[in-house]
This record gives sequence, structure tokens and C-alpha cells, in this order.
Amino acid sequence: MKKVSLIICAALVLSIFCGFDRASAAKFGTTPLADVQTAASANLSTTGLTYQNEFAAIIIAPTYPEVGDPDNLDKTPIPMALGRSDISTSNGYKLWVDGQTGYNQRASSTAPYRRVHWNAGIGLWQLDGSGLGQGYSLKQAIYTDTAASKVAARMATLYKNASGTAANKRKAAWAPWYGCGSGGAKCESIFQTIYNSTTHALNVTTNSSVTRSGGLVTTSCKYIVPPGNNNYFTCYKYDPNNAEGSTTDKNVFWLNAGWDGGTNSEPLPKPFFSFVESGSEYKHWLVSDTGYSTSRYASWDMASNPRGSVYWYSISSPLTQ
Amino acid sequence: MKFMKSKMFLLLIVLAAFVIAQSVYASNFDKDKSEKVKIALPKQPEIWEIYKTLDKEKLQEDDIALDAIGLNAQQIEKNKAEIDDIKKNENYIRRFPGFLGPYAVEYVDGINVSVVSNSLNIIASEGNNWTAMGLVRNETMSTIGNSFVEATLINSRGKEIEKVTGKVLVDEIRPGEPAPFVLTSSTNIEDVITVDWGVKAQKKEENISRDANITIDYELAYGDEYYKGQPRYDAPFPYRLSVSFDNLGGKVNNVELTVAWLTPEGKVFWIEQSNLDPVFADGIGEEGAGYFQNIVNDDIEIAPKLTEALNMFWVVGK
Repeated sequence: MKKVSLIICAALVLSIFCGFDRASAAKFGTTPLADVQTAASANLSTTGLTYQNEFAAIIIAPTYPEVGDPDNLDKTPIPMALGRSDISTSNGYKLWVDGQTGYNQRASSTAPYRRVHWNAGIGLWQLDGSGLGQGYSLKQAIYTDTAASKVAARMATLYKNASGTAANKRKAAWAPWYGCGSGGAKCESIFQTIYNSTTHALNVTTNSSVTRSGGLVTTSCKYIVPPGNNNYFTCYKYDPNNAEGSTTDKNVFWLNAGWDGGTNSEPLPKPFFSFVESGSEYKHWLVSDTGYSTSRYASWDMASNPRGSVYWYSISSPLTQ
Repeated sequence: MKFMKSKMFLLLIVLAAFVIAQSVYASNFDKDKSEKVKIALPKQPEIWEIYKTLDKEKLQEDDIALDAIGLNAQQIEKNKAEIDDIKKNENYIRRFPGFLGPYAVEYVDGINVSVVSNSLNIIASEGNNWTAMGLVRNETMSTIGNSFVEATLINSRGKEIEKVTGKVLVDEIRPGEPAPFVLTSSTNIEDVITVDWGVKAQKKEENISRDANITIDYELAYGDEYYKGQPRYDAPFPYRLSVSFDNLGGKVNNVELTVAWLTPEGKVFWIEQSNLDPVFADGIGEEGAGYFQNIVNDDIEIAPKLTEALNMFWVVGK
């Protein structure tokens, strides 16, 4: 009995010193984790790694510094995350309503339509149309199956092509994410916490309240023109109020900064509808959701950088539900 | 004198034989668009062609056809015409292998390699010397190799005061594609009244690849202390740009990134180049990916402007 107690005690001490207490606290959505594992499996042969979980841990690591909290891994990263740090205008003003007009008015609290805003970074990995998010709609960047597939594919090729040790290769896989820190140090620390290299298990607690869609709602839309049009099609409603996750999970920068935006953050958009039509993504903000005087809409050629290629329409949105 | 002239003539013939010489002058800048011919810019592959493990059908399911949303044929044609009009504008930002940015066009004159007048930025460099930054555009029907911009500086009496030549910074230019250059002179800017422009282009080399899907990873503003609510690690917080790419062709050992920044009026005001990060010392294989060393600028005069500027990208692999 004494022997067993000693072993338990030793295990406890070890777990604390090895950081396993932090490991058990790391959380990730249940289906999102399954999606990451599927993506890891599909791209594992490219990496040359043996263990799917090892690659899954590499894939997961950037989500905490990018949209969660790298110092508190118990906050489940939220798939509905939108980037809010595009305060400078490199590559253009087009994220702001009506382009430069909206950008110039951003500091004014009375700026019209200030929360009619196109955020470029989307989802757990902040897929951005200028980079890895090219050709991906809002839905595809938020949904963890499609998002993880693309991230895994890119990380796998970077990992494969990088020379040096496994740590060097991980650093290369994380290089596109600044949040991973200098030389990927932050993500390396997270990786060491969430992956057990002895048992090849993930030290991650799953959170079933954060799903694949993260709270993005699938619904139906139609155009009010031409008169009599009754062709409904699938669209997605983004509402930051619907973001899944607990109050603790939501205690992160992208949800905490004032939703109107300010000197250090872009606005968080009012609820809007999104869909893709012939290679362009459309976002419609309806009066019923925004309370603004006119319904607004914009489109983005998904092959281009949204900062320079979102097109804001001057006429009122013709969309309805 | 006569001997000198004939020698010059011979030299010109030799030069003409050596290069596919195409001199272009300012008068060609605004050639009537109706005389232009349509070319096919390099095709940007679909994302499932770049990332082969993606589920093509699942991604395509999310793209609704125009007729499915209830628009009639006339409206569909109108929409297509509007999009075509937008794309005819040289300010339209395009992405195709090895290139990302404005000034690429689908309509060319079919003959010249031209200096793009709207991109031209004449400035006084240190010592008040005449300096030019800008873009050339391959308006011919075929890909060209190394190109050289030549500017003949002329004073108020119509006399040539200096001839300056600079290499275009991209070693291969496809039809319709722009590419940046810088020219520096030893002539006081105030002495230059007019400039005659010329571009000479060599044949394309065989060992060059432009098959790169360019992706901007992040671009951090000069002076910004935070990144997504977390403190930045690179105090004193310079302008920082990270670019990576997917290799769409065969193996490349050396890959070079060129970036040009534009004023709000579309004039080139800064150019930087970067090489592959040393972690890719063995090159980038077929279907591989890599990234470049960060472009970092903390010049108090330039860095804040880079943050606010539209930029364009070229990748050349060898």
C-alpha cells in the first residue's frame, strides 16, 4: 500500500514538473479535434512522420496564440474567430465599408456602417485571403474540416522541405503564423504540452460545446430581384453573439476588444449572410440585423487579396430570407 | 568621326542580334486600347490542384451557379460584363503563378516591352540626383528574359546629358506581366527636362521557374506593439513582412522574392528582395512549399509608409 502511494506521489510530482498539469488543461473542440486528426492522417505520409497525433499536435499549436490564449490552454479556441488587427492598410483599404471612405471615418464614433466590415483573417488558423485563405470562403475557413485540411496540407509540405532536426521542421511548419513567436518558441512550448512523445497521445481535453461550425448558422437566402424570384439557396449567417464556447473561452482578444473597433482593433461585424457565387464571395448586412438605415453588401474575388479586391456596392442589398 | 559613326552602327547591329531589342517611348504609353490584342495570362490553379489532399467536390459544393440564384440570362450577362470591365482595369489585383498585384493586363499591344507610365516615380535621391523607380510591362506575345531599362536624360536645350541603364529585377516576364526596376543617375534632377525611355529584353532562359503560388503570411505595421492582443517579440517593432509559396513546378534550388510598394497613386516608391529561408538549404522539391526570409524595415521615413501601401509580389526560382 505504501509502495503504491509512493508511486502515485512520484507520478504526481513528475506530472507537475513535466508540465502535465498544464497538458490536461489544454482544451479543443471535440469535432474540431477529430477533423484535425483526419487532416493529419491524410497528410502524414508527406511529412515523413510516423505518428498521426504528433502531426495533429503540430497543426493545433498555432490556434492558441492566434485566436485563443497561449498562456491559458484551457480556453478552447473558437472557430468563429475573426482577425481584428488589420489596422494598417497594406494592400488597400477595401476591408472597410466603402473602402477608403470607411477607413477615413473609422476613428469617428458616429461613422455610418462602421460594423459593416470585411475581416480578412478567419477561423482557428486565421486563414487570410492574401495567404493560405486564398480561394476559401468564410464558411470553409471557419468549418474545421475544410480549414484543417488546408492547414495540414501546407504544414506537411513545409515540414517535408525543411532541413535539420524535427524541431527545425516544426519551426518551419509554424513559420507562417507570427503568433507562434520568435523561432516558433511559443508553438514549440504548446506542442510539448499537448503531445506526449512517449505514449504518442494527445494531452488535450475535448470540449463538445465547440463544434465544427463554431456557431456559423446554415440557412437559406434568396434575391428579391427579379420580381417573383423564388430560388432559395444555401447561405451562412455569421453572428458574433452565436460564437460557441464558454465565457472563459471567450475571454480572448478578438471577442474582448470593443466591437465597434478602435485604434488597436478593427470592428467586429454586425450579423451578416455569406455565400459563394461563381468564384466570388458575397456578404450581405441586412437592416433587420444591423439597425443601420440601409442594407449593404460586398463581394470578394476569392483569388485575390481581399484588402485590395473587396468590392462595396452602393445600392441596397437585394438579399432576403 | 565617320569611323566612329560606323563603329557605333556596327555595335548597334551586334546589340540587336544579341537581344530582342524593343525600344519603347513615352508616346506608346497611351496607345489606343482598340488596337490591343487579348492574351492569356498564366492560369492560377484551383486550390485543390495546389493542395492535392483537399476534397474538391466538397469545396465545389459551396459555390453556387449564377442561374441557381434566380437571375435571368440577361442579368447574368450583365454581371459577367461588369466583372470583365473591372478586370480590364490595370489596377485590378491579380494572382497567378509567380505574381500577385496590380498592373498585369490581358490586353497588350503585341509588340513592345513598355515602361508603365502610371507606375513611374521620379525622385531626387541623395545629392539631389535624378532617380527613377517603376514598372515595365511585357506587351509582346511571348515570354522574355533579362530586361534592361534605359533612360536618356535631356536638358532644357534638348541635349542628352546622361544615359542610365538598370536591370529589371525579375529575370523572366510573361506577356501582360509587369516587373520593377530602379534607375540611378549622377545628374541633378533639376537639369532633367525630358526623358526618352527604352527597354531591351533578352531571350527567356530555360532554367527559370515562375511556378510559385504566392501567399502572404503576415504583414505587421511599423510601431505596432501587439499582434492579436499579444505583445510582439521583435521590439522596437519594425515593419515585417512574411511571404511563403507553394511550388507548382519542378525542384528549385534558389528562389527569389521581389516586392514593390506603391503610392496611393500607383507609383512605385520602394522595392525589396529576399531569398529562401536558410532552413530550405536543400531547395524546394516538386509539390513542396517554402518561405522567404522576412522583409524587415525600421527606417523611420520608409517603414510607416510600407505599412500603408499597396504592394506587389514576384517569385522567380532557378
